[in-house]
Amino acid sequence: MSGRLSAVVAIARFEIREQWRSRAAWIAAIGFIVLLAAGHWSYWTTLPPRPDDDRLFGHAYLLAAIALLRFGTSRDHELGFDEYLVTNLTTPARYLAGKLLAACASLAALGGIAFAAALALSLGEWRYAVWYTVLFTLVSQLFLPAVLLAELLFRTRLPAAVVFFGFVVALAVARAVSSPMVLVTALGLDTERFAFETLAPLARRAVGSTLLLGLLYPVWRLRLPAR
Amino acid sequence: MVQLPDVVALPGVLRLRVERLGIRRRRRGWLIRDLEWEHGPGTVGWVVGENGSGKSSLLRVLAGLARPAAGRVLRTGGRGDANDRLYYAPEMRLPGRATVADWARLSDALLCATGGAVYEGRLGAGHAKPEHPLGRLSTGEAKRLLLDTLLRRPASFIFLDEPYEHLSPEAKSDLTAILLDRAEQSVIVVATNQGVPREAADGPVLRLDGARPTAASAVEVAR
Repeated sequence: MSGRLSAVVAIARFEIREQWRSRAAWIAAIGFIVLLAAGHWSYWTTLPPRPDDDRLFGHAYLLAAIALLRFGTSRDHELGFDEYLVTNLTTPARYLAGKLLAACASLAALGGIAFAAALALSLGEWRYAVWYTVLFTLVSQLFLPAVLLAELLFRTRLPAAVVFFGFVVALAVARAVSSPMVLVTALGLDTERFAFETLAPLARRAVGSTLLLGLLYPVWRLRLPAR
Repeated sequence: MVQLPDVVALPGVLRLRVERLGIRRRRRGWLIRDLEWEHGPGTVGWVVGENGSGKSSLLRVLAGLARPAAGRVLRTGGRGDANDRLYYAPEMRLPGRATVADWARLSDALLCATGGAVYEGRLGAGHAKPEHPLGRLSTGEAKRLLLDTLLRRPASFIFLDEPYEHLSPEAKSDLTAILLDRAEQSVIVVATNQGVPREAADGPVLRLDGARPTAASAVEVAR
C-alpha cells in the first residue's frame, strides 16, 4: 500500500475506532435493535392479515443514524486535533479523505447490523431485510453531503439530527408552497415497496451525492487551519 | 509592485529572521510592534512572558499559521515546504475513545507517509498501557504522546508553545535534552511561562511584556 493510501486508511481506522467505542455507537446499536424488536413484536402478535409496514425499521434506523452518522470534524476541531494532524503529520486532503472513508465505513457497518437484525427478527424474511437496509443506506448516502455541511457550519456533534430537522422543515415548506411529493420525487425517495427497480433514481442520486462530497473539499479546507 | 508574503522561505543558511514584525489584538491595539529578532540552529530560542503577552500569537505567526499585521518572517535554509515545520500548541488534545495502541498505529502510519520517523521516541506516554483509552490519560501523559510523535519527525523549524506545562520533572528534563539534541540541526523556538531550563539557558530569550519586546538575558529568566 502506498504511503498516501496507508495514511488515509490509518486516519479512517482511527476515526472508526473512536466512533464505535463511543457511547453514541452503543445507543445507536441497542436503540436500533430494541425499536426494531418492538416493531416486530407488534407485527407477530397481530392476527393475519398482518400490516404491510416497515415494522418500525425506519424509526429505528433514523435513531441509529442520528446517533452515529458524523465525520468527527467538530470533535477534532474542538480538541485542536485537526490542527495537530494537518500542521505536523499529514496533508488536509489525506485527513479529509480518511474522514470520508470512515463515514462511509460506518454507514456500511450500520447497514450490516440493520440487515442482520431485520433478518433475524423477521425470521428469515430476506426480501424485507434487504429492501429496508438498501433503501435506508441509500437515503443516508444521499444526505451525507448535507451531514458534512451541517457539521462544518454548525460545529455540532449530531449533524444528522440537524439534517433531519432541516428535511422536516423543507417538507413543511414544500407542503405550504405546493406538495411534499415534489421534494420526495426530486430526491428519488418515491419508491414502491419491494420493487427494487424503483430504487434506481435514489441510487443514482446517492452516487451523485457521494461525488458531491469530494466537491465540498474547498469548503472543508476553509475550516481547517492554514498549513 | 510585488507584494511579498508574510512568511518567506529562502535558500541559504538555516535561520529564522523577523523583520519589523507587528501583531495586533482585535480592537485592542498592538500586541507586538516592530519586533526584530534572529535565531539559528545550535541553541534553543525562548519566548517568555506572562499569560496574554502574545507568546502564542507570535509563535503562530513564526510558524506561518497566522498573518502578522506588519513586517515579515523569513525562514532561510529549510526545504521550504509545509512538512519542514513542526508546531505544537497547548490547545491540541487527543480524542478520548481510541486507545494508546490505536494512536501508536495512526502516528506510525502518518510518520511513515511523511518520510518516516527519523528520531527515536524518547518521551513515551509515561505509565500508560497500550489498551488505555486516550481519554483516561492524564494531561501530562497525553501531552507526552503528542510531543513524542511530533519530535520523531525531522524538520528544519520547530515551534513549541508551552511544551513544559503539565509535564513531570523527569519528562521536562527529557524534553529539554531532546530539544538540545534537535537544536543542532533545526531552528527551535519555545514559548513558555515556566522559565527557561538552566540546561538550555544559552539560547536567545525574547521577553514579551509590552508592545515592544525586549531581548532578556537567559540567566535572568532561567528556572
